[in-house]
Amino acid sequence: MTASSDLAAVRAPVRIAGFTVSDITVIVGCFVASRVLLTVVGILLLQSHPGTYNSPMQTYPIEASLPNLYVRWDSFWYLQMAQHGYSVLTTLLQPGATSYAFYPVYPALIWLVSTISGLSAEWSGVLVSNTSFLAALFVIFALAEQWSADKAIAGLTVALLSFVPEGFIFSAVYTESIFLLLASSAMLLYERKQNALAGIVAALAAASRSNGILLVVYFGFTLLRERGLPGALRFWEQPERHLPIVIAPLGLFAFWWFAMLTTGDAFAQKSTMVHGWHWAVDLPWKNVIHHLTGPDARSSVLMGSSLVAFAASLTLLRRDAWVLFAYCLVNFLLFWTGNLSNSLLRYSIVLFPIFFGLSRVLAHRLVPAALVLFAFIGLDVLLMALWAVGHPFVL
Amino acid sequence: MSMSRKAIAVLSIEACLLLLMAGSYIYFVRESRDFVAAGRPIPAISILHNRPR
Repeated sequence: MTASSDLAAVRAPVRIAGFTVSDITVIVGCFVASRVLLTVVGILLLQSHPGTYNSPMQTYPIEASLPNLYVRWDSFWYLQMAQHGYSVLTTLLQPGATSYAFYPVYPALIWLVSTISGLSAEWSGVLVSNTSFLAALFVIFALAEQWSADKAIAGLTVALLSFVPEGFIFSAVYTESIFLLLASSAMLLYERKQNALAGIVAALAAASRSNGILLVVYFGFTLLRERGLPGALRFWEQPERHLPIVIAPLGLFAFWWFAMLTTGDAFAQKSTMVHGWHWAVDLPWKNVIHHLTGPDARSSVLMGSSLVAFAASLTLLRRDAWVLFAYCLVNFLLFWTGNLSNSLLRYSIVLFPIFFGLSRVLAHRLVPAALVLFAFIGLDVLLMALWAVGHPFVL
Repeated sequence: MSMSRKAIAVLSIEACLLLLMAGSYIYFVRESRDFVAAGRPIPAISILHNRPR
C-alpha cells in the first residue's frame, strides 16, 4: 500500500447505510428541530387557550398533551379503523360518510404496531407517522443527492420539507408521512434498478392514498427519458423495467376487491365520498377558478396555496428534471379535479420533488434560502396553532 | 436475437397481471352497486372511540 492510498483511507468519511455522519446530523437535526418546535408551540398554546372546536368524529375534548395534540379530524377515522376495521357505520352528523373513504395501509400499520407494542392506537399512530417521516427524510436526502450530486441541495430539500407550512401533518395521525416514505422509496428503488421491489412499494403507496397510483407516471416518464419513445415502447426489451408500472396498480385493485367483497361496491371509496363528503368531479381549471373567486375565503386561500406549490414545481422544468415536474403536474391535476378544497395544501406538500426544485434554485444563495426557510417556519407555526385548537382551517 | 428465459418469464408475469386487472375492472364496472345509495351504511350516534391512554 502506498502513502497516498493510506492517506485516502484515513480521509474517507465513515458511512452508515450510505450516509456520512454529517448527512445524518443534518437529517436528524431537521427532524428533531421541526418536531420539537411544533410540539412546544401546540402544547403551550393549548395550555393558555383551550381548544374550542370539535370534529363530528371527536368523542373526547382537546387537551394540552401528547398524543392528543396530533389527533384531530380524520385521525379519528384512522383510529376507529385501526381498532375496529372497516365498517359501514356512519354518523348522524355526516350521513353517508364511512371508513371506506380511507385507504387501508396506514390504519393497518397502526393496528400492527399497537398489537405488537401494546401501545394505544393514538400513540401507535403518532409513532408510525414520525418514524415514517424520519425514514422518508433519509430516502429523500439520498434521492436529492443522486439527482443533483450536491449535498447542499439535498440538505436544503430536507430542511424545507421539515418546516413546510402544514408540515406538522407528518407527525399527526394522518397518512401523509407513510405516503411520503412509500412514494420516495419507490422512486429511489426504481432509480437503482430494483424494479420488482419498486413496484411492490408503489403498490403499497397506491393502497395508502388515492394519488399513489400516479407513481406509474413517474415510472413511465423515467423509462421514456432513459430510452426515448421507440425504446420505451419496445416492452419486450428489458421487460423488468416495465414491471413496476404493472405491479403498482395492484394496491388499488386489492382495495377495490376488498370493498367489492364486503359491500358489493368495488368503488365504495368514491360512493362514500360522494354521499358523505359531497365530493364531485369537474374540470380542474373550473374548480381552480371557482375556489379562487368564490365567497369562501378559506377555499380561496387553500387553492391559492396549492397554486403557489404548483408555481414552485415550475423550478423542475429543466432538461434533467422534467420527469419530476410531470409527476407533480398530474398530481395537481388530480387534486384540482375534486370540488373539495379542504386539504389542498396538505395534498401538495407530499409532492417532495417541489422542494428539490426549490433547493436547486436556493441552495447556494444564503439570503434567499434563509428568507424562504423563515417564511416556511412562520407559516408552519401559525398553521400548527390553528391545528392545535382544532380550527377547521386545517383539516 | 432470441429473448432470454428471464425476459419471457417477466413478460408472462406482466401479461397475467394486466389480464387479471382488466378482467377485475370489467367485473367491477358491471357488478358494483353504490352501497350508500343502496342503504347499506348503518347510522350510529357516534363512532366508538376510546380516550387516549
